[in-house]
Amino acid sequence: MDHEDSNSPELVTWFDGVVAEYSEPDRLAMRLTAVKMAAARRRVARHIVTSPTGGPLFRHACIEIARYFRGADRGELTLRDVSAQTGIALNDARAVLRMFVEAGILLERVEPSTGRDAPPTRYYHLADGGGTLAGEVVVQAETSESERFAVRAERLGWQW
Amino acid sequence: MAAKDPPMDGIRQPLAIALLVNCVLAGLCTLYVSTDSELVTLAAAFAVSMIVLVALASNTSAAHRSPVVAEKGGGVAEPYDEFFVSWFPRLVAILAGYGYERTVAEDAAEEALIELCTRWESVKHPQAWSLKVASVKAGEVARRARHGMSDGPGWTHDWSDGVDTLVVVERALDELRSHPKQREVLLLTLAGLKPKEIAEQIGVDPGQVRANLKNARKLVKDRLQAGREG
Repeated sequence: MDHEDSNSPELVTWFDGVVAEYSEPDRLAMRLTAVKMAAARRRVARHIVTSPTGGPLFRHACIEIARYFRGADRGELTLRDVSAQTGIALNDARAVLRMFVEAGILLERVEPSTGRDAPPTRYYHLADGGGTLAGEVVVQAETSESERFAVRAERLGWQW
Repeated sequence: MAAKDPPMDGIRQPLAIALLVNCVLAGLCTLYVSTDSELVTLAAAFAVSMIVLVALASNTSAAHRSPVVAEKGGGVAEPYDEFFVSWFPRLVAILAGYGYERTVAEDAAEEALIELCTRWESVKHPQAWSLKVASVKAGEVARRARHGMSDGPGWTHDWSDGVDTLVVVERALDELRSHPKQREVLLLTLAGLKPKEIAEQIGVDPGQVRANLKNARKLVKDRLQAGREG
């Protein structure tokens, strides 16, 4: 066989060595689980970011509230607390919090009202893994923002 | 991958037919019986047949309802899982062949396969797609980590540390940095793809792939020879 028809044995040994190093079944299975979990988080985050619920202002509210929750465990907060801390209007904050509860980022606890006409108080706190998911929402929002910018720039014929 | 409907097994199907016939006959006979005891016996046979038939039908429909669970229970992996297990190590090796550090190659391969998982159904050529995405990601990571060279990825080894075989191989691969197509084709061949598959995946003519592969092999062999000699 001509030497140009086959790969050098040293090259094959080198390549197969690297492949073998990353083929250890237990580590590979752990990695696969982690990858699938990350993909699931990304899908949820994209669903939130691209939600047809609202326009750019609603997306901004999503990002701000996700950014607020991703950093640290804030404990139990009411809608008014979240609104005050993030500067997002109550109506938008309410819709975002509901969406985050549905997505599994936050958990909700409802305390019945004591007064006759007062509504029940809802408390929100970070779910297990909710911080990571909130972080993914921020990343996906920023990515989609830069992609939108690139598309707009291309349409306008900008070059950089 | 579409799950096929599970067939009724060999015993259940004739049993169901026999019970159906029994059920119909018992129902017809109840119309013509003369004594009360015969009527009770036939009605009981009819009821038992009906109960067994309903149980069989619900059992079959339950098996039809959850093919994914049945498939998982049978230990059959999902297509993405199979792809990941076979492709991830090879993808890391290809990126290492491009000269990226192992940690960068691992992160980039993982990131590309996360992205692939989110759009598994719509990607036609997952190997080529993930390689493209992983290369871009590795470039970004390497640039951020200041590992990248000005004209693309490169080995960060100090070549003066002897003529170890691995170092010679890596040095030979580094020589291909200025021939990215040749390097890509060579590494994909090492990953087990045939020239025709590579051509299909990267969207070029198979003849071009073979030519690139031939040149890459020649260049690497010459470099390995030179490395061995000195």
